[in-house]
Amino acid sequence: MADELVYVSWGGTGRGATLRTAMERASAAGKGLLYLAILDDASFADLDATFLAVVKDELEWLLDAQLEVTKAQLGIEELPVRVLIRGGDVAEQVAEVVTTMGETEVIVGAPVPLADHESIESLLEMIRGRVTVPVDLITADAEGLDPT
Amino acid sequence: MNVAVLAAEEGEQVSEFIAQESAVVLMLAIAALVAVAANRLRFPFTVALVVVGLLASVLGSVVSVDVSPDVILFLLVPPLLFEATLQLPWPKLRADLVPIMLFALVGTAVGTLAVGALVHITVSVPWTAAFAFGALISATDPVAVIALFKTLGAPKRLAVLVEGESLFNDAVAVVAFGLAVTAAAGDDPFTLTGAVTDFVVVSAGGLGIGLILGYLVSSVFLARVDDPLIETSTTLALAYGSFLLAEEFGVLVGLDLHFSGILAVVTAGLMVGNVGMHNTSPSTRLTLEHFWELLTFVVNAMVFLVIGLAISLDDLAQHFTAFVIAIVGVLVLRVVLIHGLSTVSAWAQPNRTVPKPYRHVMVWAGLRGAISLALVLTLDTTVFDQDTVETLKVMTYGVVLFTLLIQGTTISWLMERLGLTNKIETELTQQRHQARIFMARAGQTEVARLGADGVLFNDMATSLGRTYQRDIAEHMGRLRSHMAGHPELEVAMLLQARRDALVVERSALNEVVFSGLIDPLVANELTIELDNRMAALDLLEERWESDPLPTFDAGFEESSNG
Repeated sequence: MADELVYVSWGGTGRGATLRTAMERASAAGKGLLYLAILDDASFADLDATFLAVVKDELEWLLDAQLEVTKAQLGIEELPVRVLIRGGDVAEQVAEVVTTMGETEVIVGAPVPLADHESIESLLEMIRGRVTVPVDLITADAEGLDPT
Repeated sequence: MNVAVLAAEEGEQVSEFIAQESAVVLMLAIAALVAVAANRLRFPFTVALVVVGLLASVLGSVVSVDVSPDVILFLLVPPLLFEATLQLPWPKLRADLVPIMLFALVGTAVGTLAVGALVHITVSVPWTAAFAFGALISATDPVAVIALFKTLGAPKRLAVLVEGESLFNDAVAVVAFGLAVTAAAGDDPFTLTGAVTDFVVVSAGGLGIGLILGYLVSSVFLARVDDPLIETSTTLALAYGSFLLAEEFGVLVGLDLHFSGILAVVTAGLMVGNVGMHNTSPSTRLTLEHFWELLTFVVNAMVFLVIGLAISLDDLAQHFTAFVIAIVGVLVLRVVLIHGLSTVSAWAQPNRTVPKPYRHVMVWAGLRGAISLALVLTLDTTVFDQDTVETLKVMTYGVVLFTLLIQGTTISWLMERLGLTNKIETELTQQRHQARIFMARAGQTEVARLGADGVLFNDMATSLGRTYQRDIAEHMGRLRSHMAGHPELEVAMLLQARRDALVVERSALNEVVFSGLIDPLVANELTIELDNRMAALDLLEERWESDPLPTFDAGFEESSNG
């Protein structure tokens, strides 16, 4: 059993709220949290390699800061957290990372506003089709859309 | 011709030039004043310019400008199109290419025929003239709306749909207009096959020229030269050069041929915005953005003042029935086309439908402007009779004026009703709470200083300080609960804080450079790094905030194709 839950994010909106829920879940389970942020092809594939490296670097800085802020807000400063930035197809990247971790749990942070349920559910299905661990979606108000 | 006559002619040319220059200077001054007033009154800038132009023409204008179609089409339109495409991210455009192309191609073709038929039947103008009107009035001009979208914080996808449709339907409208006028002139009898062939040749030529020139500038020139001024000047040459080369291609090669200048400049702009911008340094990107922002401001000011000056309210009153028929026809058809084609698009691309509120806004955002005006001004009595030309002009002026003054000023109300302006209000509320905290802290600091200086009794200063502390805690609590209700604000706050911190880092760097503590080479390296970080933040914000879903659509396509 891996000692980290995987929190997946692809965008900015609403991430703070869903991140809090993911951290609370990790803390309650006595595990750490791996923050997996994916710079997806549709939005970032057009960047040249040098600039993409700066974007990744800056994103990592921002997410590290956000993790620190959220830990302080929740009073769980001791929770082990780390950031991993990947580029490419969201489902493929999640599968690649999870495969190297063994048994864990994937928590997908939903965007706000939650405009297109079908699209998100399709993504969940794609991830579930590629991994054997539980995959859960959490929304900004921490209500799971799909409890499976 | 004797010397005196030559001198007199030269003198006339010089005085004509000075008159035009004076008019431009006066228009810029008016535009600046209008911009200040429009900002204060929160009124759309471009619509305000049209109103001022109209007033000037009614009161007997002191501004006399050349409003020939060539000035509008060849001088004013290319930079506007180029700047609009610079800001259009290809991934977002590609994601919505199906609805955009349906609106631009099918919408414009059907619109040309349907409006043409309506006008022929109800206003009794010849078929060719009616179709020419149908074509020219199909070209949407969303400048006023896009500016409003930015102020209102509308979803980026909505802006891409509106702007994408406009950029491509301009080209279709110009081609369709040309076909109708050619058929009316009788030089080349109209056939459907001929029209389709012409359309394909004109469009492909324009796209080809835009692609080639855009590639040369974006991937060759901008990638090899590192000088903000030279690179920016080159993009200006590209904007005008691609338009001119496409339009005048036949003259250059000695053939009866021309391509779409609009498509050429749109393609070139997309190349620079999506490829060239990434091949330049952050300093050049900033220079480019500022230059095109300024040029667009100036050109928009000219275009919309000229629209106001060109429209005659007397003519509108004289042809009132035709004017009303044109407006009603254009509006009803827009409702049918946008909703109908959105349904077709949803059938073709079920994972990426155009939401209903977006469709309503797209209907009302179909403003008409510079292209329609320029095209109608090309009409003269060599092709149609005087009455027909007058009727077409009045109908065009009427639709342009109605869409700008009525639709342009009410679209924000519609968007508020549809819940598409939420972001700006939530941000303003956040800023109100932050400002109150900031103000209270300043007050608290001042009270403490007065106490320390002996101006206030210590116990009084302490009590006042506690009261301020209570206020700060209260506003902090409100800010937290507001942020909890609008989680998207948290990311915006984080980004802004990082941006502010980078600005301070740059100041600190400048200080150590000034004090001679570090080598200029190191300073230059670190400055470039800071510029890159700032550009990375802008990019992350732009690609995150508006539409988090395209990620999945592309993923599905790739997976399902693979």
